[in-house]
Amino acid sequence: MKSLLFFLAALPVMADDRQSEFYLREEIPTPPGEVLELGSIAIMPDKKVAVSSRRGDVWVCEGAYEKDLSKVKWTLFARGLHEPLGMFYKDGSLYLTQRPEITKLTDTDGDGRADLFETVTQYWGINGDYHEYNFGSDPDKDGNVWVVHCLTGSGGASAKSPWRGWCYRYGLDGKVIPTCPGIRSPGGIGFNQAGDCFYTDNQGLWNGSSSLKWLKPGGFMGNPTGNVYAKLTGQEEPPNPKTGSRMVTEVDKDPRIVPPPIILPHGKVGQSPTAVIYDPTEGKFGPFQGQVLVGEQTHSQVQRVYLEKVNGGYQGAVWKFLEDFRCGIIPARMGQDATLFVGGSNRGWAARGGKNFTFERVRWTGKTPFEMHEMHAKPDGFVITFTEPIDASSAKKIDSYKAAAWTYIYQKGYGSPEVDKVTPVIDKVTVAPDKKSIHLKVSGLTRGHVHHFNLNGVKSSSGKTLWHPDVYYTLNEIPK
Amino acid sequence: MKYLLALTLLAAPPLLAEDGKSNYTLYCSACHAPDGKGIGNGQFPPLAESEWVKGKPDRMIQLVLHGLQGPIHAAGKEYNLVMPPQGAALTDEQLSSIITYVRSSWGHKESSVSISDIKASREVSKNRSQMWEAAELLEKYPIPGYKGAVSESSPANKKGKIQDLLSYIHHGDFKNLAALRKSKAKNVEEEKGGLISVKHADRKDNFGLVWEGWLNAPAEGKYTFVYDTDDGGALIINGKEIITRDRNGPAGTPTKKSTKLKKGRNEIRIEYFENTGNEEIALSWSGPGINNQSLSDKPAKQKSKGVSIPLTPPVNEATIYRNFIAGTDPRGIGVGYFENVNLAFSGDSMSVDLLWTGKFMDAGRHWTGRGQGFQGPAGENVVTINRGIPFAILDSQTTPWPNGPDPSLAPLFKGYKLDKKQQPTFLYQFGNVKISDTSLPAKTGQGFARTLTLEVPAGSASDKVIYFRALSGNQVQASGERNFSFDKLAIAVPTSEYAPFARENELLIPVPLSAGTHKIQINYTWK
Repeated sequence: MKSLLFFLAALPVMADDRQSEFYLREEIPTPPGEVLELGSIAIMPDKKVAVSSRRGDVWVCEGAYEKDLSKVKWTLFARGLHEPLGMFYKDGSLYLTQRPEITKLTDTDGDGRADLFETVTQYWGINGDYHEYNFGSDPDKDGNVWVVHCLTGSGGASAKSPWRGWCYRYGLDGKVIPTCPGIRSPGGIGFNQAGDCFYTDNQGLWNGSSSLKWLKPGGFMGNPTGNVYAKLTGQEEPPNPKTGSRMVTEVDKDPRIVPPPIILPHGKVGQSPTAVIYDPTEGKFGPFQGQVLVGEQTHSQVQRVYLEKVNGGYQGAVWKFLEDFRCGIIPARMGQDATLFVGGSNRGWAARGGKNFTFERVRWTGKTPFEMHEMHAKPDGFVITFTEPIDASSAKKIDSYKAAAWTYIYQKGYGSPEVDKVTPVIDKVTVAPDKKSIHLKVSGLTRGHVHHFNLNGVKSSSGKTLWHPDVYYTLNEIPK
Repeated sequence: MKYLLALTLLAAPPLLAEDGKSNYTLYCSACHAPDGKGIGNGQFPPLAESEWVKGKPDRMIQLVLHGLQGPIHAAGKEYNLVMPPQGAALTDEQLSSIITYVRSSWGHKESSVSISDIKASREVSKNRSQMWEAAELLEKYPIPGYKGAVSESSPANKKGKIQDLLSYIHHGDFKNLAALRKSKAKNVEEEKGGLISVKHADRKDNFGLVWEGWLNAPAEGKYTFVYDTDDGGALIINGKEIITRDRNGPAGTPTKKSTKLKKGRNEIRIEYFENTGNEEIALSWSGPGINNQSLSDKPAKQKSKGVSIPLTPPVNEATIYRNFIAGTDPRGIGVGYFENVNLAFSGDSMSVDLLWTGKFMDAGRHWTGRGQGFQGPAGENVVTINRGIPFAILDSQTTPWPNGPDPSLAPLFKGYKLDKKQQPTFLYQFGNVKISDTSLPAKTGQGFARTLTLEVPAGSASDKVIYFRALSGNQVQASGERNFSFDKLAIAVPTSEYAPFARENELLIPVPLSAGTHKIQINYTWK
């Protein structure tokens, strides 16, 4: 009774001082006197790193991989761009997704500054509202840049600015491919290892909580405000969900609706998700090869996501991962030699950390944290794997675990409380012979609910507790 | 088993008392800080010491339920941010716990707020779908002695009245006043409130409203009217057009004009049209016996005092500012030249819209907070030389300029290149005609020397004539075959194949659509 109350009250988990044992977070000095509110990061040849700022500058950093970061050298590459949020390097040029367009920046005379700004496309509309952000991806395997167009204002879509609330793919040759309606307010976009594209969308109208969404081409992302534009091009009318419903109910009525693979429970796992990247380092950044990392602006964190495909759709689990960044994280990028670069800003949207903008890098210390590694849904419960062998006796005890499950109202209103709460019951825990995984047999699995487990009582074979004992699994589908 | 039982019992709502402090920490502290002082050294509004928390709880409940946007004053400081609405995100239990916690923390000793208070407040505002703005919220739930721009004695709370007010509603795709004036009213209504409002319309887009009524002036004298519209409109007093806003665009740049009124009843006619997008209207007046009264249901948006971040070109270089610049289209590109001349180019219509002298731009609006709105030039002598597409094929010299591009001549922005002094050459196309467009500070005197080069590919050549509209929107006076006067500018066209010609409020330069390169040179000099 007592321990349970403690558990409920302690949900907003405080900073864990174990991070520095596993991951080394270092601030990279920014150009003196410049306000470098990072919006995107690109990796360039010769160990250079380019960053763009919300004010519209592009700077190139040399020495970001070196041991002594006090010696970094900054070169101004371009100024005067319009809040670029998405940048990559390709064949000698930097490509930026700005508010009005995708632009190719080239230094044709080799003086270190861009002198040619070529518009790749400015297909979409803008009308001057500050919400009209665009987050652009790297090119996919076909060479297309995926762009999510934030709605004009929280509930707005105006005929003056078509394609707000849509994801489009844009070829560097000017090709235009309508991809997904239903977007509200994105915070970042990127690919998983399989090459599928995901973006984060923030709590608000039609988003009960923030989430990581799968941009399945042709799929509907949940917010019908941008549907008005379908008529303009004679496209099929996107789904019109019923307000006050539940996501699973609407998905069953119209399978074009793609439920979010990962709900990031509002307040519990951040408040404003941003960048989407995956760990391609084959173990050089710790044991989470192939997993997705999600930036978080308000709480200045990076979360870790394991995705699996069940009944044709993505779903999976989220854990807290890195925190204590000095400002709210917007872009993230895995650099060479498994260096994770992140940057951020708190302008207009508050963030933890105490600084107004930051550029930081994170490296694995080589020491593996005791963590849950993956979480798989099963017809009768879940299988959770661990980064090191567990102590079977603690893992077998049912009261080493706490469980809760809930969902959100799928509605036109701003956000949703946690509703339809159920308490899943762990009937049995089976520890695998290699002690690297457990099978939880659970009664009360509820399709469409976020399933929260706390594994505070589970110890490693050497007696350690989990660095992050809370996991949140979005159970869109229960495997058959 | 025991444990599970306990969990089930606890999960039942009546036993799970909401803890205000943990809920506050979870949902509110990211911005307002765990100690209530606001995150980021006062970048976000504090709740400790805040006048918004004090007194009857209704104002705070409403603010939390529906959110608040726009400029506010709190604990001695101005803010211009957005508080997202929490009414749909949090339960009555959570809201009562949080508001009670805030009202009894950090020195506050205000009464607690019950679940039924929250329910009652929800009921009162159940039809509300918009966030509050300070003026409207404080009109309903005032803060005694409020220090912000919307004080009790401000226009927001002082409403005038137009007597015998009638509203006429028009339907149509109105892009200018002429179109509105040509149309017939669909309906007429008596507006007993005496205040004009966009709510008098029966639709959100493609409408016009015309109001007629009488203003009672307390004394004879000069009265000043401030009129703001999204999109356009006009104000006519005693049959005289005082304010003309023949435009299509957002509010935020109100027009201020004065006129003489006689004591007693003066005839007032207000015209307004909304094409698409947001709709907004604000009208106020002041003069003898009238201290800034609002004649609309919503007051004009208060300009936030804001931080100034002047942008200055570096020595011997130009600087570029791409952002929402008032007076051009949303894809605005401002260029400030070291020689103290500036321009704004529209990446939507491919037109150099504005020229001005002196200071370039102030980025304070866009580089603080969320950066909402359009910012006008910082300098002087602003001249709008054109709006809308500057190239069109006309059948003859008397064909009116088209409202939009011909599909075969669609504008396409291709970007820009910079010279060693960071001065841009804009690159764009109209159909297959490639155009490069360079404006450089004039060597002699204050002004610009502009060169446009058109490349007509052989496949697109014809015997038609494409016209470049060099000037529009104001009277053009010819002072020679190639010299003109326009607003504050003297214009010379030293190079063009065909002679330029002025017609009503336009200067056009015809260019043959023959294959090859065609050059136009224009000099703009401030008089």
